[in-house]
Amino acid sequence: MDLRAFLTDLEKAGELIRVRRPVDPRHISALTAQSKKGVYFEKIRGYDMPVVAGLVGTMDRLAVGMRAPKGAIGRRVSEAVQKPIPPEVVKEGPCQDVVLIGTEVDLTRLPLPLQGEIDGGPYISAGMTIAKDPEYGRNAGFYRFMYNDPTHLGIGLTGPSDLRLFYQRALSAKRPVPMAVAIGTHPSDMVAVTYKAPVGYDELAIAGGLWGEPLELVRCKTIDAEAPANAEIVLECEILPTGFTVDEGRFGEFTRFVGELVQMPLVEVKAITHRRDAIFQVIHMPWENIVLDVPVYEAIAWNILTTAGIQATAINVTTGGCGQFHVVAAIKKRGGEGKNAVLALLSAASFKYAVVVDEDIDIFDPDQVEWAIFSRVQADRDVIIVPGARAKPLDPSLPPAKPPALPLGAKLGIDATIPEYAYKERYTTITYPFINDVKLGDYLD
Amino acid sequence: MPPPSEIDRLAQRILALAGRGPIFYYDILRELRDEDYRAIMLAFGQIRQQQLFGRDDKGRYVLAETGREEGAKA
Repeated sequence: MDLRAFLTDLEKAGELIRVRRPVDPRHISALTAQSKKGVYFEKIRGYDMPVVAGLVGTMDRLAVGMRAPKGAIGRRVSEAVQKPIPPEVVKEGPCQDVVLIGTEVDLTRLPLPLQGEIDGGPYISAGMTIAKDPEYGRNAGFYRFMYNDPTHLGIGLTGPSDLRLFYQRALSAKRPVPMAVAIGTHPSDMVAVTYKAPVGYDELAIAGGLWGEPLELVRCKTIDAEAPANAEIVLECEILPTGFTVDEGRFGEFTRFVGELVQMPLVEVKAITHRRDAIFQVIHMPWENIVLDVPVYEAIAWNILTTAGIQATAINVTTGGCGQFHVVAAIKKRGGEGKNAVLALLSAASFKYAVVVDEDIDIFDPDQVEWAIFSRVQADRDVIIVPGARAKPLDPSLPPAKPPALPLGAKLGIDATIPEYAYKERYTTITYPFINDVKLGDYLD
Repeated sequence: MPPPSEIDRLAQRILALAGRGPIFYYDILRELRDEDYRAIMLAFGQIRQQQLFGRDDKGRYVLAETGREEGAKA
C-alpha cells in the first residue's frame, strides 16, 4: 500500500478534491484548512511537484485508507502489534527513480509550506523516519522537521523516544545517526511507525502486520539506513552530533496550541531521492496528527486491558482529547473490573482521563457516555484521581517544568459501569410498545 | 533556481525587515508577497547559515547582534 493507493481510495469515496488552478505555496495551509475533504493541489506556483494535504483530517478518511470501519482500526493495529511481519529489503523501488546527491541536494526544490502564522518556518510534517543504531538496530517514527537552509533541518526530538535515545548514544560517541525521512506514504505506515514500541522492536513490522505482507524497503544511497520503496520522496540524512544547539519551532502542535521555541539537533541532508512524478505530502496540523494518533493509542489501550485480563468490547480515544489524552472503554465487566480497567488505562503515559463503561453503551456517542456517567457514577465512589503521574509536556494546564525534568500531572479515571450492588430493575430503560410492528413511512403520503 | 544576486537582494530585504523589529517567518512571506516563495526560502536559509538571526522569547526572528534580550523587549 502506498500514498497513491490511498489517493485512489479517497477519490472513490468522494473524500478528495482536486485543485487544478495554480496555487501560491503561501496559501496551501489556508486552503487546506478551509476544505472539508483531502486536497490535491495539482499545480504549485514555482514548483513542478504537486502537493496533497489534509488527507487524513477525519476519522472517516482514515477509515477509507485503512479499509476498515473507524471503530475497528485501533483493534486492528493492536492485532498487528501482536502479529508483526518484518519488512523486506528489495533491490530497487520507485522512491529512487531520481537521485540527487552532493551539490544537487536542495530542500527548496520541495514545496514546503508554512503551516501556521507563528511557526518558525516551513516544515516537513509528513516525515516518517527510519534510523539505525549499532546495538538496537532499526527504529521508525514520525517527526517534524523545520527548514533551516537548503541542506539542513531541525528535528522535533522533544519528548522521550527511541530516536532520542539513539541520538543521545550517538552524541556520546560523537557520531551521527543515519536516518531516512520518507515523505508521501500510506496512512497505515504512518500509524505503524507512530506506535510506541519498546526499543529494539521494529515498528515497520507493524506496517506489515496491518496488511499481512512485508513492507518493502530499499537501501539508501548515501547512508546506512533503509527507506520504504514506495515512498514519494526520501531524504537521506544524518542527525549531526552537535547536541541540542539549534533553535527549532515554534510549531502548531497536535494539542491545537503552538509549541514553544526549543533547542534541537541539526539534521544534514546527504541525498534527496524521489519518484519521477513525486507528490509532496503535508500533514496538516493539528487534525491529521490527531487522527493518526487515535488508532495508535487505541491499540495501546487494547493491549493494556488484555494484559490486565479485562475483556474490552470497544475503545475510543477521542479526537477532542487530541488523540492521546482521553480514552473511553466499554468492557464486559466482572466484579470490580470497572476500577481495574480505569487503573490499567491510567498507567499509559499519555492518558489523562479514562472513562470505563459497560458494553451496552455506545462509546462513540458522547451522549451515551454522558448518560452512563450520570446514571452509574457516584463521585465519591467511582472517581479516581492519581496525582504526581508522568504527564505530557505539551499539556498547557501543567505548571512549567524545567527541562530535562519531565512534568508531573494528575490523572482522572471514572468507573461508569453499573455498580455491582445495583438493583437491576432501576436500570430498566424505556421501550415503545409495538415498535417492531409498525413503520412511520407507511403512514406518510 | 534564482541567481545568487537575487538571493542576496532578498536576504538584505529580510534583514532590513528584522531590523525594524522582531518578525515571524509569516511576516517575511507577507511583506515579500510579490517575491518568489522558493527564493525567499533560499535567502532565509542563507541568513540562517550565516547565523545572522537570533530568536526572541516569542520565537520571532531578530538580528543576531540584538538577540533575545532586545527581542524580548519588543
